[in-house]
Amino acid sequence: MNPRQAHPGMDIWVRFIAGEGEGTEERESLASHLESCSRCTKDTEFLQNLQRARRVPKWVAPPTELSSAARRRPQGATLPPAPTQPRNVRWAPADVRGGVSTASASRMVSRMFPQAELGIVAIPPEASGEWRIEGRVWLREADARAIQVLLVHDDHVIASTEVFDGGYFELEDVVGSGWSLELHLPTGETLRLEDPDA
Amino acid sequence: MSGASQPLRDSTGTLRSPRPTTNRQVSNRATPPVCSQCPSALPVPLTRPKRLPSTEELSDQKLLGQCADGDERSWTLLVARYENLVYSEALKVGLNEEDAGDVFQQVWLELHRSLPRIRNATGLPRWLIVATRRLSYKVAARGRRMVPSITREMVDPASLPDEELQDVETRMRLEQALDELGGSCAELLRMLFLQPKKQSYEDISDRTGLAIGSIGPTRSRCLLRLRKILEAIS
Ligand SMILES: [Zn+2]
Repeated sequence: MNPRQAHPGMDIWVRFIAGEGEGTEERESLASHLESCSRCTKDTEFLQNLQRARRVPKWVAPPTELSSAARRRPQGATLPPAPTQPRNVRWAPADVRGGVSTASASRMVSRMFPQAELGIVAIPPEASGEWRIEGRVWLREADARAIQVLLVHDDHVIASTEVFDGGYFELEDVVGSGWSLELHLPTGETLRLEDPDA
Repeated sequence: MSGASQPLRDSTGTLRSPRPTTNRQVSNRATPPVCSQCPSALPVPLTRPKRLPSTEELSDQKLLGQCADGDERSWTLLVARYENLVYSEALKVGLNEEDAGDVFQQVWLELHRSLPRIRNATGLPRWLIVATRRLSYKVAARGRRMVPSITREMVDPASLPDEELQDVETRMRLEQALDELGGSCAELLRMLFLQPKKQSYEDISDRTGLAIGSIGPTRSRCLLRLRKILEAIS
């Protein structure tokens, strides 16, 4: 069989993929056709994908009460999208700052920006595997609206909290290397602090 | 034919995500009409009622967008589509049922928080597995559970085995396409391709009422229809 001849039908390829006819002339002929026919290659790739789906272990349905609860949309507004032009802020080795504890490998930010002043410490994971990030944000211009603080990894918002001008926040969570902390200010601007160890 | 009056049972049991209004559930109650595009050997249940959204309308992309806009029904559909995957993954990594339940709830909260920033909707199964594995580690660590299979490595998304993930994504797309295909064709293909153990032609013939000789040609026609749907989804 060659590409100029008729393409074998789907049913023939199903049997071929299943390994039928091992060692026969027909099978060799099909294999040879496959080598030079992109259309039939697509057919067989589709069938191989079906076989692959079978390998997935049996899925288990959650208990009904869990399922029912999850299917109700969580309360509260969804959080902001990824900022398009965040201002990146660098960490420095931790120092002592009033009211904020530090650990040996901690990093901190204590800086003034046009929009806000930051005093934040990031304490790396110990046995619990959890980063602890705590601090305060002071707005340069008084604003009664909340600042949203998000711990983010890729497109996962791992944890979030809200803090008002001068208020204290803390986040503690398990997060992989490469996380970032986003401070969404009421003005719409975002300050971003990236994982100091990444 | 037995399949006409007694719709085939769900051959995959809990393998399938429950859908609030599946094509199958609606269509199997109806009287089979004649369908010129469908395999003649099989009874063909009614096509979906017009109000039921198509796969395209129910794509992850659309559901995610509508969820981010606050649409309740889209949220329900999205959770229904993936809840088996999330819960099974939490059990698979070694958690007990109680901890798996905690993780299950936290995954959906994380998804809700993250809705506006999920850029790649086609990667949603991966997104959910990554979240489930990290949260499984967290629940085990906080509860001081000694689960040998749960390691710090699970927090890193890169530790997720690509091959396993591809299998899951393939399976999800296939389930979606089979729901779109619906009717007896979908049931036949589920029996042929999604059962953990291969079914003999005799078994399939017994359950579908198809003559053994017509299973092959019917399978071919159903596969071609399925492939068209999969191409549209992709
Ligand atoms: Zn060909």
